[in-house]
Amino acid sequence: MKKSLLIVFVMFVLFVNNGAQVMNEEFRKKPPEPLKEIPFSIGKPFEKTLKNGLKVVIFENKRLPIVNFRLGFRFGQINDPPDSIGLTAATVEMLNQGTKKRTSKQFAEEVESIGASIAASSSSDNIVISGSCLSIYEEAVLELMADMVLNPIFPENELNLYKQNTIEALKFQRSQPSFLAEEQVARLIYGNHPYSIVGPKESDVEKLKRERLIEFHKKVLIPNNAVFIVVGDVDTKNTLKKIEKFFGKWQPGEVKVQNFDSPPLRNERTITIVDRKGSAQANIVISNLAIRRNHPDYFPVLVMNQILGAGASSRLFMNLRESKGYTYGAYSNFDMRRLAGNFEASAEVRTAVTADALKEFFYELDRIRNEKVSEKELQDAKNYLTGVFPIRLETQEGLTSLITQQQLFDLPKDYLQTYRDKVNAVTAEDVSRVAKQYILPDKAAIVIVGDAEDLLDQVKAYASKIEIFDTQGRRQNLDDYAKRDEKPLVDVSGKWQLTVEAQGQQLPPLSITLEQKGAEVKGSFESIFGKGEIVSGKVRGRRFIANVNASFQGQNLEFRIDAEVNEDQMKGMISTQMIPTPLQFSGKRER
Amino acid sequence: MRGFLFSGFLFLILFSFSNSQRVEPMKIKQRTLPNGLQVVSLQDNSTATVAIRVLYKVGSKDDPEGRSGFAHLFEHLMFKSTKNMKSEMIDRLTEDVGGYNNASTWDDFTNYYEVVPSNYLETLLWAEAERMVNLNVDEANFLSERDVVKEEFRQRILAQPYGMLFGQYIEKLSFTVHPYRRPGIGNLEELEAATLEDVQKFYKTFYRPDNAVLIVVGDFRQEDLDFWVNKYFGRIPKPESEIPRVRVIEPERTEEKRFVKTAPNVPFPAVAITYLAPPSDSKDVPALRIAEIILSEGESSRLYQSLVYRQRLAQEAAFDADIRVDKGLLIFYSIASEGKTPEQLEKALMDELKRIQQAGVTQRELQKAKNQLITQVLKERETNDGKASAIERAIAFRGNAEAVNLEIQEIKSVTALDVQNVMKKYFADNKRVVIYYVQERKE
Repeated sequence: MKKSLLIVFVMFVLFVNNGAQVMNEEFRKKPPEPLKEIPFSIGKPFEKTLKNGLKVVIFENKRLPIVNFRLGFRFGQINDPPDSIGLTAATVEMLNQGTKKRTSKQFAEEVESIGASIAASSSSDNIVISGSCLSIYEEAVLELMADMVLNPIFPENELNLYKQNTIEALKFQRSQPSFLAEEQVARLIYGNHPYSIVGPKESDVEKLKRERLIEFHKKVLIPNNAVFIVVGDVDTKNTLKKIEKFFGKWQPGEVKVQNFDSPPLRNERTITIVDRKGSAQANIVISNLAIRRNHPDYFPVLVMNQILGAGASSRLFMNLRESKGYTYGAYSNFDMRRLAGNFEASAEVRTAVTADALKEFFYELDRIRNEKVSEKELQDAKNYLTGVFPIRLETQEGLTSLITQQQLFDLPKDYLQTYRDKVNAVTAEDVSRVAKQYILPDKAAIVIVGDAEDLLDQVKAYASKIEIFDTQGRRQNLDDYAKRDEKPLVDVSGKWQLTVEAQGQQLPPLSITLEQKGAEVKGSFESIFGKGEIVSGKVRGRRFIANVNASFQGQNLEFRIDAEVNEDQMKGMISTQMIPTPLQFSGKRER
Repeated sequence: MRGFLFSGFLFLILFSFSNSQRVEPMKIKQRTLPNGLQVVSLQDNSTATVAIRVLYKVGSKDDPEGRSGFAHLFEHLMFKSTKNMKSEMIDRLTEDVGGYNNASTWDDFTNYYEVVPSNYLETLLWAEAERMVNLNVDEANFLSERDVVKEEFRQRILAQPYGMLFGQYIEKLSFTVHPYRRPGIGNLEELEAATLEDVQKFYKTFYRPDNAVLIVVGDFRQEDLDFWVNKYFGRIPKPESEIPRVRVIEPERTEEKRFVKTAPNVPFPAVAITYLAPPSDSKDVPALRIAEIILSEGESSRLYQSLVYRQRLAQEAAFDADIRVDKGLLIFYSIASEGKTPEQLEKALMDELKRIQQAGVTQRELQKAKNQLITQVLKERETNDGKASAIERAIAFRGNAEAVNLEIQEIKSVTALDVQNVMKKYFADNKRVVIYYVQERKE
């Protein structure tokens, strides 16, 4: 009795005086299990088609006094006339740059003054004009949207400004490895189908003419090819009346069904390199033709891709980043459009590990095709997909986007209502089946943007067919690259002082110490910022190329030196992932 | 002619606006546990999601002496391992189920927040309780995270052309005695000086239930929430020690001070002119927020129209009302265009100040600013996290969660005269600090 009292007393002392002890309670050791998925219901919107063919979809949502609008057209950049690529994008982006009633400045000022926002954009399949505002300004925003859709005048000066800005943007695009990769992937996967066109060329933009925009606008922005979606604090009847008032007199036109060539059938794996000289990274994309947006296999594909590579807990990320450290991120994605779609697995890796990264990519692609996924992986993927769905739907904006997708891609009427059920119904067998069907490693197009000379040897085992393009999209002669594997003509051994320029300013001096044996070079690097080691250095003819691993104030940084050597002088470029354009440098050997 | 018609139309809808716009107040529940933890909840079952926030009443102003930047460094460490959680486990518990999480360190407080599907609420309460009491930072974690924060300093302060001005000088030169004079990002020397011992001491001193507020908004049943909160937070002991508080008061300024500061990478000169702001519970704050929008929100704002568009003096010109719990700052600033001088910028900024002091603002400008502010406020409230964030600001800046329900009415009640009056009240010439920021000259 006394003993047990003592125990109680001791426990009491521990509980009261020692917080840490309390915090060892059993229930703290493991996170509690979640409750069962909590259902939530989404009502179905009101739908009506006006006399002129405009379909109106209204979803009352009175939680807050705000409202969102989308006017979507089933018409996109793939419908550009073949002699005028970029016409759809230009016409759409010019809609609010001047109307019969307002200059572009007045338009912007009126939108701003009521705290609203209005924007217009186009993609390969659709045109979307969106607006949002406090619900008391519903009518004002509908009037502004109608003004830009019905009365644009495409002023000459605004068009010139548009052309100038677009051409600038096109130039900038070519400095981005991701754009260069997408350009090749589109060409390889889609062939003569217009999905192969990623955007206009400079010459296409230059020849845009005001008259052409006016005529095009009349022909393609027609109510009988459009859907008007309203989500928010509105009264359906009242809103319908207002839409009729502003859009009812809009004249229908002829909806033309265009037929396009089918994307090509691929029967072997190929490699396409975009030679971005001096690039310290290789951007890898592995792609094949897959499914269109409203394909019945949408949900199994979604779950399978979640397991394979959609997120930071997916297999590709866990393998290439967490376990191997080749990259900051490796992902996969199904790009699903109205008429077709493609699968892509991609990562930006250090050039030196490109072949290793390909090995791991193909390992994972084969694995998801050939081995059944575990119940846990399957459940984790479903948890993510069913979990992110209600979070997306929290905002009117999110709900409006999903309704727009459902309408423009002709998805089932109960798409939103059954979304989570369909995710949960996917089985491990479904995952294997769609992986086998839509991931085709043996027929994939591999696109790599990086320094071709560094890449060629590494990757040639992965396909019998290799082609090379430059960053302007021009095909290069493969034989020229083979010839460049020259014998060294210089010896770079010794200590070099390098002078580097950045934006017209000289950086603090750097020095490198090199030791050459045959064509191979080793050595070290030093500057006031930090030290480093030269890895995979080599000399070809008069050219010296090396990757440097440096540590700057505790940060690891990789950069690449590429220079032409002339006795005790060298001149060339230093590039790193951190900066978009390489830095010029010159070097002098110490005697 | 069209302009006139438009104004008429606008007036009509504006008139209807002030009379008709009604927003349901948030029905907030509040209680305080015996250990001092304040719990604020708002049930809303219209979505299947929930937002969780833990606000700790400790911010950069509480950085220990000689440890500038410490509160922010500590925030990073809160994502490391605890007795029962692996490092970065909060990321897995949120991102892997479709949610997200983050944290931020303010001058006056620090917050940690998550959004998850509502069936995971208990899991996140477990995790937040775990890091409130069982944080377990080791040397390796500490050193690597200190490097991350130092790198953040380099990127945000040293690498940006105007980083030293906005991230260091404005605060250092604007306050004389209040700890706000030490920028929250810290500096490399004092970050380097931080030790694991400091971490443990800071955790013990400030991370405790009686210095925290738990905010939960979204889809739950009140009895479940209460049960879980009691279970995971209720048994965390309340330390006996007192929580140190900043009590220093920054004195009113009596004379103008002028500084010229240089840095090696300033492409164009910049000017910042600061005045002391009223504390966050002042009734003048809504009028200052309206003034902020009229002066500097968007391309139709006064400073943009004058300095950037008409006079072509500047590439950027703005007014920022940096309101804090104690007196914060009201800052005019501008970055010059090619060939323009800081003197020109200063004059142009002060001309706009004089104009608003002498002639006030128009009804149209006032209404536009209100529309923009109210739209912002309402859009924030669309999500559970937005509502939780608004409640958190009400607690942190007004000392009272219910103040969130006054926000819209306070904006609506501001008059043009109120705006003119606050612009006279806080902006006297002998109470300004003027900083010129220019390229360092080579000797």
